[in-house]
Amino acid sequence: MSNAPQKNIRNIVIVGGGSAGWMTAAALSSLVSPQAVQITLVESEQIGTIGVGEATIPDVINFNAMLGISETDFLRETNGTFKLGIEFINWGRLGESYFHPFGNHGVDMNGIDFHQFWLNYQRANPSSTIEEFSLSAIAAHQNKFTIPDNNPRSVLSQIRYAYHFDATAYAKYLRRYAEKRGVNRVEGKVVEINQDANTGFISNIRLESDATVAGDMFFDCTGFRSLLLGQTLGVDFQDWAHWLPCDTAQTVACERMGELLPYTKSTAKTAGWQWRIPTQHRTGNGHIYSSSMMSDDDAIESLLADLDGPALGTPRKIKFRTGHRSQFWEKNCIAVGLSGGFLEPLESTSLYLIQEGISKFISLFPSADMPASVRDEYNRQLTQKFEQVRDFIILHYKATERDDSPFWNYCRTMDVPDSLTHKMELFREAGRIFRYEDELFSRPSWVAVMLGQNIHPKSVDPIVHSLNSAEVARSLESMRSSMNKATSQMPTHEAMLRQYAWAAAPVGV
Amino acid sequence: MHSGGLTVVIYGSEFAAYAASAALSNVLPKTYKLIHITPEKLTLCSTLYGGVTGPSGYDFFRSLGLEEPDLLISGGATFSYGTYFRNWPSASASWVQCFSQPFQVLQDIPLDQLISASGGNLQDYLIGAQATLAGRFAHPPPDTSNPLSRAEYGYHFAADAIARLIEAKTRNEGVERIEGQLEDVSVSDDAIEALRLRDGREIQGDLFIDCSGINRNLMRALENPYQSGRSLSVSVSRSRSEQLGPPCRTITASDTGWQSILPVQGGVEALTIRDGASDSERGHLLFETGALTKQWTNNCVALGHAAYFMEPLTSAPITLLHRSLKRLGELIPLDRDMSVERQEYNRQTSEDIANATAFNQAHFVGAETEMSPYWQKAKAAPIGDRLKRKLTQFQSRGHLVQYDLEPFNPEDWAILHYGMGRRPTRHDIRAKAMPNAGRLLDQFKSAIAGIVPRMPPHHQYLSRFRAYLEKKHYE
Repeated sequence: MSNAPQKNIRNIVIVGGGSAGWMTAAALSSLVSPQAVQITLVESEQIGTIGVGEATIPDVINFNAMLGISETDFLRETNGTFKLGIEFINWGRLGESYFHPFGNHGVDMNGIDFHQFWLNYQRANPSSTIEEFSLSAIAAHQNKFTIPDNNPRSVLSQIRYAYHFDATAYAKYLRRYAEKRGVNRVEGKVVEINQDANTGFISNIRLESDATVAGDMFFDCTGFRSLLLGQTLGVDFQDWAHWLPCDTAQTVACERMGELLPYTKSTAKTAGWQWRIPTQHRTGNGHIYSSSMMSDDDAIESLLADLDGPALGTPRKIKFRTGHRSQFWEKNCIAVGLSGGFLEPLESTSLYLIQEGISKFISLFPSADMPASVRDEYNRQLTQKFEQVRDFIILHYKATERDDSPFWNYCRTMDVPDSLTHKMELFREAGRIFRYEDELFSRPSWVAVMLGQNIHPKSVDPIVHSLNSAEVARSLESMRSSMNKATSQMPTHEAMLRQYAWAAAPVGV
Repeated sequence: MHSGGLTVVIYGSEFAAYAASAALSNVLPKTYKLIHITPEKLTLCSTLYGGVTGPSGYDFFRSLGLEEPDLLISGGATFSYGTYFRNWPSASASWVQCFSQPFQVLQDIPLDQLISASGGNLQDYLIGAQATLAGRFAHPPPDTSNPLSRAEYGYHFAADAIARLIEAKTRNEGVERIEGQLEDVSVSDDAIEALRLRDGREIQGDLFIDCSGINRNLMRALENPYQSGRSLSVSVSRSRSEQLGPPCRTITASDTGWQSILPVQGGVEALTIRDGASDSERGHLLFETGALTKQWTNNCVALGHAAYFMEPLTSAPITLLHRSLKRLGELIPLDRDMSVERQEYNRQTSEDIANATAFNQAHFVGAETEMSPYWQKAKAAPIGDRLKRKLTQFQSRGHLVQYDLEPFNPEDWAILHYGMGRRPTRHDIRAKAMPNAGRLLDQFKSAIAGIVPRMPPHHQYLSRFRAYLEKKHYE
């Protein structure tokens, strides 16, 4: 055992603003004092950030809580709205839709998963959908929202939610937060990255102004360019395009029309899909597609044709590569955000993956010599996270009967990872789901998507086979009616938000 | 679409066979038929589960239809905070491998990180360990401000007694029991068609459960290979005692291996483990550690010692049996094509075994005991990548790596590392920077020190509690 004194990290440099950079800066500044660790963020006004209307999953609430940010403040500052889940349109078949809600469907009974009861119920009630038993889904369909009740016995405790918000405004908000806690922001474009001749560690970066910024630890938040990790340290990229062939997005905001929906919409199209993300004063839209199967012009035309209000500005094109760097942390550099890896936002996981990149670093906070063992563990954990989310996203493309375009013919027939094939087989056979312990998407999520995209179990699990169907029906119907009753008493999403945290003027325009 | 229902045949007389019959009779649909064939008993097999459960023991026994009062009144069970290791990992070293709830988190920093930064010993902050050392026990109270509410307990039990209890309980619960000795297994297309017994009867089935212990009669017929590790020589003795021992099993290392003393009602069960190759005393039986390559092959599932034999140093043998039974209940085949169920069962079970094996193995890394054949071989067993990662990460910074499907939680691992004398070389910088850490840790320690002397001795608590239960049940 070595007893050498531990040399602590004194200087952390974050390269790049945007959501990834400012989330990293804010989180680190909330944990360490500026006297102990100096945090510097370098960003350039010249380089735009990829901030489109952002949809999230409930984990973002934990991130804000860790920072001690108040929810109402946050919503006002970022034009934020509540999100109860995602409506998927035209995915399993053209003309069909389903809802992937946050939270559970129904209540498990006697240690048996709720969806097994529902499968039993559905045999006698073929028109029933499992969404009828999700409070989040019921409320979403009626444009209602309320904050969940803390009392676990209340039906309202079953609500789970996340947010839609303006990511650029969020980055600005976090910038103020971080600067208040001693983060030093340096304006400038990086022109050179210098490495230590012996160790290969990044020692400093030189800016256009010729100023240099030195550090013990560097966060690469430079987006797809991956300036430090990819370009300087030469960490290679694991490409997942054969499973997820989309590689381009066209994004545009439009005027807000009609009721404020408490959910994201994802509509499958000819060679990809389109999102619709409602924020308080406008609606974010994006069309994600495979450039080998659709031209940019066609993609833009399709995007604009499906807006539900007048476009604000012209569409912006984003090229991307799906996959991740084979190391997220190499030497003294960690890539957080797009510089480390990218998965299309079909299940709104972008900010979550940033959050994981930060929180795993915090839980492993290294000494300044960056032991290989710490990096190794970090890389293992992050890779696992990406792979698990990847499988869930591939499921949406694979579980389809669509045969109306070359894109869908490819997706429907492509080989998928064994881990996913196996999950689909287990469900197809008797509705069985086994979640990996640390997996982000839990059983109800897999159930929602598999059923929603027509993977119907051939048989019910023998466990519920012998249950009394009349009793099952009674308890399910009583669950449903208490959920409907609770929903009828909720305010509409917009009314609730206006009273709770309305942004006076459009934010970030 | 499943309509008729399958016939499930269990073969064996050891503890796992009875556990399987009880657990499956509770979860199988009514259309399924459950047959349990009981050959003559195998010596010792049941005792080699180690006789100790972790905190999941409560759920385990419930899944077999046994509640805590059944265990205490009719099963001879006692309470367990864990295992007290003596002279382990070196002469005069000792520690309590107690069960624990997740460690508290103080101002975002887990307790174990604070302790490691302060240079303290984890055991001083665990009520289960301190109560064990004092020989005291009480059920955890619901009031979470009381440190005792954080104690987790399992049971000590004599496996044969529990098997008899199950036999009596399930007599009228749809399990068809057939006494008989296996003559031959009829196999066609690598699947078992039927079991032929010595008296000529032929028992047909769709799914077979091999609980024949280390004989592995059914798996042998399917030529499913067993990957063996070390050979162990085992002997067991029982003795009566007037007064019940502490709420823990005691494992003492010796030059030639180790001995465990398990307190059950009325006496103790002593188990001695030595090296199998060099120990040839009479009355000792030989066992090979290891596992089948596939726990479920074709239409046959192996459970208990037929599936794997793990040196009973920990509660793993029972925990793994519990998990396997639960898993089998969740993966009951719908028809003769069992490929999907089998694949998932084998995936999860092989993870379980690998994880439990790593935990066992971690008891030998760095042990400074005499270099007798037992210790030489135990220490020479290869350390797999998972264990290597766990050891490196803990020693580097106290990080507790967890894998999918671990029968032991991070707390169990932290306690084991401390017990084995491992300490992180670096610490969480936040723990170092926390100004009031020392005071908080002292408060913790003194709260525990204040409670333990007020707890009753194990024997006193158990006899009073038992008397109370008997009164309640039989009035």
